Amino acid sequence: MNAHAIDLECVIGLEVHVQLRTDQKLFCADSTRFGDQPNTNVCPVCLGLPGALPVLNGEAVDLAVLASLAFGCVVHETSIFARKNYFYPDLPKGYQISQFERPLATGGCSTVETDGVSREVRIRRIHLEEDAGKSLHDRVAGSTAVDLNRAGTPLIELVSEPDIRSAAEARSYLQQVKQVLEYLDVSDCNMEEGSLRVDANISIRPRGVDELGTKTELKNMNSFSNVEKALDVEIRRQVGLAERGQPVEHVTLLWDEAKGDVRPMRSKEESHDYRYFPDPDLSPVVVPMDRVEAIRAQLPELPVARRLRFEGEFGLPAYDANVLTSTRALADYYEAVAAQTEDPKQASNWIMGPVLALAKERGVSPGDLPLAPEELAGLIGLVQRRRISQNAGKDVLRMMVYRGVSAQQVVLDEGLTQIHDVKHLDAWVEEVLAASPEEVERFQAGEHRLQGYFMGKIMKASRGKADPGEVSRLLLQKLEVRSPR
Amino acid sequence: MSAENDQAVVSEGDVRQIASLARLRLDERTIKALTGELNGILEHVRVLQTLQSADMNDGDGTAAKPGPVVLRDPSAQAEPLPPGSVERIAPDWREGFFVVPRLPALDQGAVKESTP
Amino acid sequence: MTDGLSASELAATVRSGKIEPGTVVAEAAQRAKIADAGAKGLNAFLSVQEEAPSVPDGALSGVPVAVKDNLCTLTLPTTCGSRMLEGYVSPFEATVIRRLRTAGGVVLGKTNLDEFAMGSSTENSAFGPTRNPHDLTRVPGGSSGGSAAAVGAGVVRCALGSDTGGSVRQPASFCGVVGIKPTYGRVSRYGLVAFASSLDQVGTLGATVEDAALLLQVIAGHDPRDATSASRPVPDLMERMYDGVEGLTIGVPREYFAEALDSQVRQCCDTGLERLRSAGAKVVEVSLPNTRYAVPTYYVLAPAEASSNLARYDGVRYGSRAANAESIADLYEASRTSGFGREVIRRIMLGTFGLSAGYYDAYYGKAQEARRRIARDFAEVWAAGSDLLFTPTYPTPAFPLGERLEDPVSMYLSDVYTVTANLAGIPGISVPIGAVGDLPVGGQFLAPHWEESRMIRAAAALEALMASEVRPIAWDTARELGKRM
Repeated sequence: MNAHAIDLECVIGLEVHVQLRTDQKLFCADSTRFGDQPNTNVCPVCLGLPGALPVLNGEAVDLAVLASLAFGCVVHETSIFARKNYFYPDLPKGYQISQFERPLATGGCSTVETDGVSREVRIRRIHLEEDAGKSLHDRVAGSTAVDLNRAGTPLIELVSEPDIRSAAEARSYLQQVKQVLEYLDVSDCNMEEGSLRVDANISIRPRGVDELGTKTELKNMNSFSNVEKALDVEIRRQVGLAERGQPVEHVTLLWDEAKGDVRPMRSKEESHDYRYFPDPDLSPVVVPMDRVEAIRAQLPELPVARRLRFEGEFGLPAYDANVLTSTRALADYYEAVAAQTEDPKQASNWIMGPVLALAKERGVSPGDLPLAPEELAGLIGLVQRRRISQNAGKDVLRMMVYRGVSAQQVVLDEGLTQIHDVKHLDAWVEEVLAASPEEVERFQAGEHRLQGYFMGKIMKASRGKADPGEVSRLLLQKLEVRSPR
Repeated sequence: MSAENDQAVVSEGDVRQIASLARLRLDERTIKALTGELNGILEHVRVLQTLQSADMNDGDGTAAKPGPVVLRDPSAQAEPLPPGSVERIAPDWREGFFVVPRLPALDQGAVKESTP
Repeated sequence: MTDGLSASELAATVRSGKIEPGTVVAEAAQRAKIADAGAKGLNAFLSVQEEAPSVPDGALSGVPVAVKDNLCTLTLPTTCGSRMLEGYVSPFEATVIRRLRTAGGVVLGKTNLDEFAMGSSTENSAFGPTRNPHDLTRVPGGSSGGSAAAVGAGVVRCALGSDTGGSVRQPASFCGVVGIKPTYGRVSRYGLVAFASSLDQVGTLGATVEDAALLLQVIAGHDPRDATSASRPVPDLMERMYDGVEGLTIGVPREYFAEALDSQVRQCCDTGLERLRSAGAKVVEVSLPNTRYAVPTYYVLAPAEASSNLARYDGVRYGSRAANAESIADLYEASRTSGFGREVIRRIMLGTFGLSAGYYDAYYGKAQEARRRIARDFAEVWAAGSDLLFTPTYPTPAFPLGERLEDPVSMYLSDVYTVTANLAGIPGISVPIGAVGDLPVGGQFLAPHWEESRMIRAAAALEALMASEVRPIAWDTARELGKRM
């Protein structure tokens, strides 16, 4: 995780751009919907037509404030939109409306756990800005095609301090950030669709030194695992340079997934003089303190707090609590089920096991299965009261989901009610023992593992309906009775 | 940027750099002329140097008193442009896209989509 | 037949049914053609249309209005006097145009201007200069020279222009018409092609104060599409228009009557002040000590904002694109360099410099401070008891075509009396008060924020008081002048 040389450490800062899940764009009323026909969700404002003017979308501000509070930031009552001036074909106005000297929020932090070690990564700032459109390189032969549907979509940019010390930690940080944002429901956080993008800044320095080394910027990583791989590669590259006594140049690098390597961006050497100045078309963003508090009151229980509460309130082991709180929807689902079952650990087992597996099979999240919490609770109850066996229960679950009916209904339809009646059970046990005299002798001679053999036969004879616990008790009773001694 | 002498604020080199930032292609004659003009203008602007710089972010620069934050009415619908409007004004339009010469990043192959 | 009627009289005539609605427009279109025709044509209009009026009972029913070609219209191109937008037809119309049409007004044509509104003479248009109807060898002023000439020649009673540093008031002065710049935020900028966003306002020109005021009444008011437009309701601007100046205290800032002022212009102003006194106004000398920073401040801030506002003209989505560009860099540079004229390039360069790294504090920062001081000067004179200020509109009457083209600085310096209103955001009006030979001279009233009614009242009074010194606008007279020259 740390640099290979003994005395070097790596210093990583991450910039995460997150698209906010608003209906409309940041400065105009166009839809932010992904995947529509190109250049159809556009208007004079996001096209940058002569004479068009931006007007701020309040919903975006609220979501940005919510996110800022969740990361423990100070939300500033007044922040200012600034123009970031540069030329690019998918930047319609020739400037991006962003925030520069007076961002919405500063001074937060995120607790990141990597391989059991917990560290704080400080968040320098969170600010609002508009997204650019898309430049597509293989859409029209020999040219670049520009689609401005995405232009103007609201983004928040989270900038961390360079507190991250390894590629693995970077990945954990990103997972943590994504989890929090998902809990807040402020974004889809989907790297594949581009609603979450990451740029990294990496440098190395001798351990114990405060001064930062020359950093490189790393772009074009389209998944968290790619971020980790890319950082590993770049750290090794910088360490290699250091070992050869060569300086690290301040360059921007692109991650090439196919090659598994980084390479410099070969664009014309641009002096990145963005000439920021406050945007005169927009008033300062004012979020009065009472509004901030009203938004703070809407903060849901955040992942870490919820995990700890699951451990405490439901007595769940850390592993279970972690899995069940991985998304807010799953945590909500679990709590709804646990509220209606007697054993929270059972509820946990069922969800972590068969339910998650079924969801994965169907390619949906557990919350999207046609399996209401009370339905699952009902099923668990049946198994708890031994109306059906555990195994039968798993089959019932499948049938509930595929048929969309209740557990009771399935059990009725399939005649799965577990048999407890001793008379029936007795008959099956006798039947099996009578049919296997040799095995009975061997059991009584000491081959006690043959119990499994008998059990199998009995369950088969009963077509799985026999209550295994009862059967087992009866079987052992009868075997003893049959004993010659 | 550096000044060539005490009087001139901008040199021809500075002017070339500014032109590059502004995506303007100026011939030598124009650069020379502009250098003189800009220095002339900046000479007149010099009187501002005697002032203390403002806190730029103390207000947004509009002249009238700034009011409370202006937000868009969330119920206001987008007014769609008439069909074909965008295509009609586009200098080069194919299959629903604005078309420009291939961007340099393309030559690097693996990049499907670039942001600067 | 309709010659000599004011805009409100024309509208009343149309509303009453006494005249065919299209007649007024048709006559105006004829006049426009004649005014611009031949070697001695004014070149006031870049495009003309005969649109059928469709609102029978509006405040401006059937009234033809000339519109500066930096205001977006649906049926005529919006060129901004630039090759960059030659032939560009906007897919949306400016809010002020929509309001004009809702009130029954008709866009007669788009008028010539200095390219992208940058200039004080209309000589910076890519489509040739406009001539002053009072003297065809001289400029009409700028940048709204076409609109001012159209009104000054009697083609239309009223016109729309834009005023960023005096571009409505100064040409009004040169062409012997009334020009109003409203308080910043009084009129929507949505659809006004931006030059300097914190300074631009749509202004009105009229043959009389009433004509200009009526048009302002129609277009003024909050627009949700412009975040800088004020939600303050618009009063009846003409309610007390003929109440006279009795009891008003009129401040005369000494800094506006210094050496640069032409002695004959000064004379006209002195006469005006005398008559205002005799009409019951109290005239006092005041001081606006930060006036010396006005032009430097304007020529730092306006080009800075312009350099950013004009970045969108890159040949990618609309406008002129250079042919055979080999790369995106080539496309940008070729399109922009051939699309923009010399003055625009000069200002983009100046503005880019002023915002660039290392110079931002020294230029943009200090200019903002100066701006605050200039605004404070006005606040202080209002607080000290002045209801209005009176100044010359411009140091000289109209200068000859070509005289000032080679010395931009001298042209800039003469904007001193008008730029202060834009910097402070206060309203101003220029009204004809005399002439130097054949050349009209205008006097300017400046008012506190939102006090357009007060300055309109004073201007109407002065207009009446100075009627004997001013040649009234009449189509026949203008044509005679044209023949003579």
